[in-house]
Amino acid sequence: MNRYTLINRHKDLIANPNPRIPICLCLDTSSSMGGAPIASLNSGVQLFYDTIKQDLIASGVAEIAVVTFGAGGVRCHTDFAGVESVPHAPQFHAGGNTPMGEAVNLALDKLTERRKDYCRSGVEYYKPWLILMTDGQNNGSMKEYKRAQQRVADLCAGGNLDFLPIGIGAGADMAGLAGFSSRHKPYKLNGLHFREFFSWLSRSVSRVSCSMPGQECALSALPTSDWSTL
Amino acid sequence: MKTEMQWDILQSAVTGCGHEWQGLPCQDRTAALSEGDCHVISLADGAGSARLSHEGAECVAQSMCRYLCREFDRLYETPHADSVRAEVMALLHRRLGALAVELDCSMQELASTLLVAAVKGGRYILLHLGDGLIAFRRYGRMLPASLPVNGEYANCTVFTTSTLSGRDMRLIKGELGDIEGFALMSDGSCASLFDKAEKAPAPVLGWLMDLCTYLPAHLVECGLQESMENEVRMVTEDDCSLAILARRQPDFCGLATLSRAVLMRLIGLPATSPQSRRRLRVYLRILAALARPRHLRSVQQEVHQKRSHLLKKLVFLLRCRLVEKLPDGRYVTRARL
Repeated sequence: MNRYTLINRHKDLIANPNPRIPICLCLDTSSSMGGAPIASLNSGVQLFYDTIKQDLIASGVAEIAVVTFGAGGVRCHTDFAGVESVPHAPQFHAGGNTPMGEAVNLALDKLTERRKDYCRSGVEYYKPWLILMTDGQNNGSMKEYKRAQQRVADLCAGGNLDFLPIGIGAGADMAGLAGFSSRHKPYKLNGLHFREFFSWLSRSVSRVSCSMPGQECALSALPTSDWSTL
Repeated sequence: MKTEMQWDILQSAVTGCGHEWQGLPCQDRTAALSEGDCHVISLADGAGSARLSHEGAECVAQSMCRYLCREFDRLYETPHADSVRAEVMALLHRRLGALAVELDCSMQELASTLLVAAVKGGRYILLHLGDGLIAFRRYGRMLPASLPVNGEYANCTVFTTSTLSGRDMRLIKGELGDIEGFALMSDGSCASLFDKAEKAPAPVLGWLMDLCTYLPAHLVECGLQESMENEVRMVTEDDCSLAILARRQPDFCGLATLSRAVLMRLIGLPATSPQSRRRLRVYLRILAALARPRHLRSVQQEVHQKRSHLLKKLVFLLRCRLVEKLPDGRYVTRARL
């Protein structure tokens, strides 16, 4: 016998979409990333996707886009999508230059577009994330680079973006990365520990997706002391 | 001759799945108070990050009920909303300040949102600070009165302890006219009782208001509590709370005058089955027979049902709270016939 209930879950309740976290990975796939670095990056990004998929809450909340700069110039590898609809991370190949400014601008454009999509369709969302990973210096347009730095700085200052700049290896331009936001210091990735980094990132996604109004999301303890709360 | 309005109150607050797993208390609180012809409901959703926000929520919900009951007329006549905002914020900060001293904590640890609906003498006052929703019903349709006051992001809102929260407080007042009731709900309840894309409260809120006309409110509230526990809170991690102030329909003339569709829903019968119509007639006869407390045998003789069939139907009616079984074994109808 069906249980009688004043409110019937299937007939009376409204199926609102989950709030979303738009996350854009902006990744350096230039020729200097060839060999072990690009293999580790591929493995790390796949781990990120796999870990999010296994988290019941985060899998319904995280939407991931991937912008790369390197082989083929700047391209949006994957537009925003949940891990349910894009279960496998894209695979990257190293090559080309490092047009970082153009890539960050494209990533910001994608995030802006996504926020507008959410507003249009009445979907709630958390603060967008932009994760920038590079092992070198910008050698694209300096004008675009400066513009990207200013846009990121303005968004971060207004509390409208969480920005995570990561320098990979000895050749990473840490000073340039620091120029994007005074609030978000760049971090040096230890060795090629992409998997550890993306594992931490997926835990951060889980925390934010469980957060309630007024709740600060603290990160778990990390190998370096420079990590801060999102 | 003006018929005096009769109001019923329903309230429910349940712990979210997320808080249950973490062993945290429910941070949502509701309160209600009726004094004379003034009826007030309030709801407060404690801030997730605030350690003692459930205490703060309880404090502000109770304080606002007493305050509105006492000061309704004066507040309604106050022409400038800003002075009411300042007065309310001062009251809340005084109460929360005293509680902070008592609990040896900072005021920020008592933060919550706040929603209030008060009616008196054909007028209403609504107050809204933070997320959650105030809905009202007019001509049978649920409409939003005050939408969530959020920041841009899903985990941001304004609290009673926020510095500029006086400015963010919404105050609405007016003549009741054709308004049939108000519903306050927390952010957790909004996840399934408010269509965020259409900005429309769920129609089932109107059904809950109707039930207060057909049944005693305390029975409807039991059913509501069950539904909140087993249905509403299952679709979110957050605590869920709901408070309803429903005007009893003055032109209600008994269950038998309701439409078939409403009666089917009331008893929990599937609307489309042809056997349901026949069954409905039997149920109405049973309900009428139980207008006064009676034993099974006596009802059986009157409605001409086999004992086993009658028992099954009584189980149905008990389940939807239309009938109650008394300690002495007799049955009686609780629905307003």
